[in-house]
Amino acid sequence: MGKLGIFVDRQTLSSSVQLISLIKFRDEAENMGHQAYFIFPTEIKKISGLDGLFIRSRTDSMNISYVAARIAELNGVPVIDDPTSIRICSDKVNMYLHLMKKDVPMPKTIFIKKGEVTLENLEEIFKMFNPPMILKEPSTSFSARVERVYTKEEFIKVSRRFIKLSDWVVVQEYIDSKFDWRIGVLDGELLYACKYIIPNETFKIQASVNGHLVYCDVVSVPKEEVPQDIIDLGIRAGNAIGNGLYGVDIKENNGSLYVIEVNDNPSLDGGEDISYPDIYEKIIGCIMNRGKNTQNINLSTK
Amino acid sequence: MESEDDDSSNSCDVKTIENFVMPFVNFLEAHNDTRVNTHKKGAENLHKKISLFDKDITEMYSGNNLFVLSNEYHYKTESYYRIVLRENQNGYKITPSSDQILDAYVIPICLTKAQMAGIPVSEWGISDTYCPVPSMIYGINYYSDSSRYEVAYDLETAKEAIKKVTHSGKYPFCFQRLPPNAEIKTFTTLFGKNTTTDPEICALLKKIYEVFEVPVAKIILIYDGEKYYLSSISPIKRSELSNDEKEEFQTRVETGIENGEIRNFC
Repeated sequence: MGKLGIFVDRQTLSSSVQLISLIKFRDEAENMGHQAYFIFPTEIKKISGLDGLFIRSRTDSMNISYVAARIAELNGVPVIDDPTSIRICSDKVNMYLHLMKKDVPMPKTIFIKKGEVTLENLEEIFKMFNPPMILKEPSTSFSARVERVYTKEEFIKVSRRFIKLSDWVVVQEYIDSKFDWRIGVLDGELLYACKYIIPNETFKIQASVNGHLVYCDVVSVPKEEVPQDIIDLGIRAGNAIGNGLYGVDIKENNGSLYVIEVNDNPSLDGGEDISYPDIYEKIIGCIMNRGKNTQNINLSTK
Repeated sequence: MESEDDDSSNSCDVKTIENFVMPFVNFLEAHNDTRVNTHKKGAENLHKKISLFDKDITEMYSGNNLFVLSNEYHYKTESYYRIVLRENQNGYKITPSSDQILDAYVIPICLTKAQMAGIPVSEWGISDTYCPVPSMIYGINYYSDSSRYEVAYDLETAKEAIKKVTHSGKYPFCFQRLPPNAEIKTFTTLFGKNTTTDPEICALLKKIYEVFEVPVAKIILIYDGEKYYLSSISPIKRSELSNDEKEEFQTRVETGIENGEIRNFC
């Protein structure tokens, strides 16, 4: 039994749905015999005294959640999300390079660099891709800064906006689908599966349409109803990143499967867990067992 | 997607580099790991001009190490992505690595890692509202830059400084307490070396390089009249270099080229 920290910030707590999910997580940890504490950014120095840390705030390599994860790692405290997973997944360029390296099937993807958005280059790019295509600013999350473009004019406009935020921008083949599979992977194993039903008004799981936010519907799918090739691809994509907790988005089109993204810090509060009531228990067990394993290694090497 | 066959044809070092001046970064480049025995030839053929700074990125090979030299490794810049790309290729230990850059440039991580390695740092903490005065204050957010800090001398200046670095209270910040009569000093380093002859500073800069392995960096130190404390590691602007420093850096790069270690993309 040990001390488990749950790293949160103001944004995490501002949503009642997330708050309920966090309390459920804390209660589950206590039911398992652990002491659970919420850790806020100003309490980051307390991390070294914990036996495990679960990050539940928006992750980015430049923000406080990465600081928390890295400080945990430097102090030998097991952490999900680990800093390597945050660094890779919160940067789509890095994430896609990891998938390419492991030959994980994904939409045709290139990276365009600052200074390369010229009409001459666009000729070549539009020959490579059949419009529409997708442009992504690398640190996008929740579908923000992901745009579909049909024309060179749109491409220039969107890419120049994204290039103000990043020297490289992702250009990707558009894969049409009514829903995304979301495969939750923990430590190389299936944790949950659900479908994100894409709203009719958009091509993204979340978007602002005429000033109103529209969200996808979440349909939890029991393991026995998930095609094995979807599960296998989700696990393969997760393993291309590491051994943490991931939400892998997969599209199916004309009989082919494409990994759209591997997300660290996946959402667990939208109904993803309905068919998988043991999600929290498994996550807590994974974090706290890693701590035990580390202690055993330390003892055996002394 | 393009086929693997296209990739296998791209086995020559020179071709690999030519791919970089293509209009976009071909993802198949990520698979290329066949440069080990050919980079010296590539260096000879491809060197155009010697320049370490601003838009140029220099790659220097030394044994099994590949040093990516730039004055600016900030997250999502061209240099950062060059490193990320190289990390996804096989064969070399990349210095600096993407995690080393973030360790160096994200202030609380930098201070934690320095403390653990025995590098002196001033008393520090993370807050979103208050800091002791006087303190140096750095932002911790998507937009923060480790070369930019504010000094809170008293409660009034603290209020303004905190508002500035936190984007009006939206993000937390990191403070470092300034000892009485402290001075803030800045040093530029190449492989942990600077033109200064002060042995204490030289030893500290060397130690900082050994721990963080950022080959080109601006180091900000706090000096209390007796001892130096690390405050931050950040990118360097060309305009911040003295002529002596430019000359020494240039000499080091030229020596690398003569030894066949350096490739330069201009």
